Amino acid sequence: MLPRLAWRNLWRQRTRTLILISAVTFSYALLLVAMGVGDDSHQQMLDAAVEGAGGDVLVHRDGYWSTLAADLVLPDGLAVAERARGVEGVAEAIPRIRLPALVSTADGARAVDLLAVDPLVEEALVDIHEHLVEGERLDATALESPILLGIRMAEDLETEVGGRVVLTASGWDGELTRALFRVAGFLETGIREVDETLAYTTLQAAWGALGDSATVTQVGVLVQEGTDVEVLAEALREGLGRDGVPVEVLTWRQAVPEMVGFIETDDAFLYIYAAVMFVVVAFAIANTFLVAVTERVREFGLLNALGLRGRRIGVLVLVETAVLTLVAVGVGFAIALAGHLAIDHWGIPIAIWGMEDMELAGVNISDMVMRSQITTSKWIVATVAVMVTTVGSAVFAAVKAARLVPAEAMRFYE
Amino acid sequence: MSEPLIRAEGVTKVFRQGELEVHALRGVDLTVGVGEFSALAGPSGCGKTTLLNLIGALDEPSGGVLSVAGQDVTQLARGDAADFRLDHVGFVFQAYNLVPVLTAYENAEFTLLLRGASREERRTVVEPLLERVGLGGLFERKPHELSGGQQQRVAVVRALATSPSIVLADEPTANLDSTASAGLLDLMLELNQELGTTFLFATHDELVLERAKRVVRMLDGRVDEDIWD
Amino acid sequence: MNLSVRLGIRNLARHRWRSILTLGGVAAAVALMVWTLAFVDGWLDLMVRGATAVETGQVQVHSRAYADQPRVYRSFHADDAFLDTLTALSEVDAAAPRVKLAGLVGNERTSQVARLLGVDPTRETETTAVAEGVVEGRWLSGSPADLTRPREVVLGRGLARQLRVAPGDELVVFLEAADGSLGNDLLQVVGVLETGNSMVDRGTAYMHIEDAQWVAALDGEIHEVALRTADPELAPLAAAAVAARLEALDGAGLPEEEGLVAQPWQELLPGLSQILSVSRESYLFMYLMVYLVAAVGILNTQRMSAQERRREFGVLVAVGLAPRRLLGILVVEALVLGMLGALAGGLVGGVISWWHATAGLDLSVFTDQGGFSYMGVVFEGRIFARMSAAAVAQPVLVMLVVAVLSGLWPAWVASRIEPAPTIAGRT
Repeated sequence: MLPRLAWRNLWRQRTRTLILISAVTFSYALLLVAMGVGDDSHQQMLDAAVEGAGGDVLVHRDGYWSTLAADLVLPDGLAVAERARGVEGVAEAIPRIRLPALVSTADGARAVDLLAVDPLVEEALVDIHEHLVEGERLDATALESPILLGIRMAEDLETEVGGRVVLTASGWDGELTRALFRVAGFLETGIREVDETLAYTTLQAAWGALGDSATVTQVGVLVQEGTDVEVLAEALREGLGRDGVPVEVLTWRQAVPEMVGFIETDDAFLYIYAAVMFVVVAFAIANTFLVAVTERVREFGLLNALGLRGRRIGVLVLVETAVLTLVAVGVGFAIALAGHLAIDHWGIPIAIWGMEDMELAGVNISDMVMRSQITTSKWIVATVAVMVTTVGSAVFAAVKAARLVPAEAMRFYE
Repeated sequence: MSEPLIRAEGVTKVFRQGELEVHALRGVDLTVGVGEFSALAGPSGCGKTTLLNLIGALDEPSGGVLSVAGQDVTQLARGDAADFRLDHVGFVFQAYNLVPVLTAYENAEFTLLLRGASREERRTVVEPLLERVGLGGLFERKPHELSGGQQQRVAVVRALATSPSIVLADEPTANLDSTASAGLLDLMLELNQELGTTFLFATHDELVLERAKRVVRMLDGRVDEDIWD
Repeated sequence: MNLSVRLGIRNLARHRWRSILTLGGVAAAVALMVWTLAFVDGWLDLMVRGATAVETGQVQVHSRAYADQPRVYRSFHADDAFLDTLTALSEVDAAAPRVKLAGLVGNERTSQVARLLGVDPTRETETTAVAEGVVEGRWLSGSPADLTRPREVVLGRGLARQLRVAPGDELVVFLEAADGSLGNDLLQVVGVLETGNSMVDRGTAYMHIEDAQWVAALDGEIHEVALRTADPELAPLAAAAVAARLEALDGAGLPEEEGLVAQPWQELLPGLSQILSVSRESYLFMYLMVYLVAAVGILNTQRMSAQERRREFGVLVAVGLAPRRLLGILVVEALVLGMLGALAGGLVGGVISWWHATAGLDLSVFTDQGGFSYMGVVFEGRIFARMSAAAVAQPVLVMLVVAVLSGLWPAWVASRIEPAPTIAGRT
């Protein structure tokens, strides 16, 4: 009987109930949407970071990642990659060479982050030809020692497709090596810093210049859907660490700690705001119920005189709040879901806020389009938090209602 | 004979409650002269409160002629009605007369304040009146610190403070015991005689009817009997 | 005291719990906004400082061609007299000449690509905070080492780590000189830098400007002059003043199209400048969200309060209170409520912000990674909020407006009261 009584009581004060429901609904939906958008942007940042780092799990010569030192290499990198592919849960293992180098022409020299890859294998992580604006693909060109250059660097050096550039880098033995490369094409990502420093070549060409045929600096491992990255990293440590050179196996969390730090901080701020917003809402709700109780003393007095115990009157107030909360959470969830689907479908380009390029933890992110993503556990926690806050804020009023004595209640003016 | 204070001719009032039309007044003819101490009487629903409200410009008649203190009160704008009441009418209601957060003195001077009277002007009017109704020494009390009778006396002072043409009192004694009622009514009668202010009651309290100089009995929205003492 | 204010305050006092709860909501909202403003101001200061104070400076002078496209040979002549002319401007506090090169720095084990900055150690210290970032060894000495010894170099921490070197170790530099030749020289690490500017920390090496000019065959010429101004916000004005002075100097003897240009950091770092303005605009969004919730609270309280007191209002209108006056009384009541809440919130937010401005906010509370880098600025350890009168006053004043606006509707509804039925208890 209490829920029915509670339901009818709520609709007797239609305006007030609607205001209450809308306040809870609004803040709840706002929280869910903010979390959805936040989680998605964070995911995009992480994807960019993983792409920049080279994989979900990275295998290097021990000590390489913190120094990026060109002499810390995996001398038998191809075999390492092959063995990694055999580990349960590995989708792909990509051998590659990262090499800081100087590219020069008659018009000057530019520092580059040279990546030597097998374009076909690399495709599992990123299509390096995605930003090709002029020239040929590395795997389609007939040129010997082909290289793709960032467009701004190419313009600075005044090279053209088919032109020659000299690459200066320190070889595996630490000796400076110079080698001739032919420009296969230009890449344009739209991010200034990247277009000034990006360069891709093939593993074969790099080996040709550096004098070896199996050495790489990194094996980037991609995990299969649903595989725990930490567990896999442990398995790789077991499987790869036993013989040969000492290796380090890093998960993306360990590989891009600054990005993880940013995301965790960003999340923390979202929670601070959510918490204060809910304090504000809770105050408003507590208030409303308090007034509702004072206003209904006669009614409660009547119920009490009819034999409803004080405690049950308190329960009635709580049941009313619970009903209200359920309605608000239901409507709020529907709105949030609609908002989530709409944002996920159309996306919000951050350019509308006047932001184009962003540099985060050394990762460049350009023209990001914010979409939305549901993290089930977070939505559940938020929902429970909202329900507890709302019902909790009515406790004061419920206690007050329960303590009213009938005679006093009936004597109350009116 | 000069123009009466209140002149009502064929006054009607219809309330609409959804589909239903309630004829509260079905054609009331009534004149009230200056200085009267009269009462509208009759059973619940006879229309006495409605008539009192029309006279006080709290509501508009549906038809007929109604003038109070020489002013047509049948079609006053909201703001004008408030001004009219401030200038010509004093009210004493059954309950909720006083602003709970104001003291007895502040409640009493409220209408004068609305008129823009200075502090000094308000004091010279309100203080003697409060003393006169026996509330000397209770100026700073809040309404909930006063008895029902004392609260009604404050309301009477507030009604009289602006020297209105007429004081309209709707069941002023309904919430009081008989001693408090008698005291309040005797006070009002004395003030009627001393100040010459017209009083018009709506009541079915015998104590009021005993003291009234004229009792207008109403029935079903019409004047049934008009008895002069 | 004015009747409306008196009635407002007493009515609020009468329903103490209701008022306290509403006040609490309003105060929480205002406190959050005060803290947000102070914190974002502090954060933006840190961004601007991290981006400009360490390396860029607030204004830079280049040759027009270099500003358009940096080339090692696009240099210009700048002697002490020229620099003194610039520092003579009231807008300019200090000036530092620089040679900017890119090259490979390494040893027999490994090598790395580095930005090489040739600087005048004294003038650089006057202009930027880079020398304060020395965490190992020391900053460049006052004059270059004598010619029998290796050239002094100070490395960013990342570079030092990648090369696995410490002060005392030797390195070799290779780079493309201005005349197209390959320059090289022997360096000795004298210090390691950690400045909070990721460009400097990750890959920059500082050396004496004379050494840099020698290895790059620049013959006493420089690429840029970095200028320090008192207020980073006013850098565009300072740049304009510098530009006017440069014009008067007749382009430092260069042909018209090769003249010198002065650019404020807002132009040099457009991405950062964008982020700053976006962050400032995001205040509006925050206000909208937080204050909307607070406004619902006020509106609700006032609506209920009016509902509860309708008999009282009926009597007041009956005895002659004009509806407009009643409206005024109720709006004042909402204003008083908002004002008390806003003041309390301003106080609480002010205290928290002051605390975060003096003691700082420890980022490791939020992330066990200890920090992050954003737009080239490293945020680590503690972030300090910036307290200002505006950061406290603005949220308080905006709340007053919000309070009046959200009190308006309930007041208007209440003032439309029909006295007769209300008193009779028919509504």
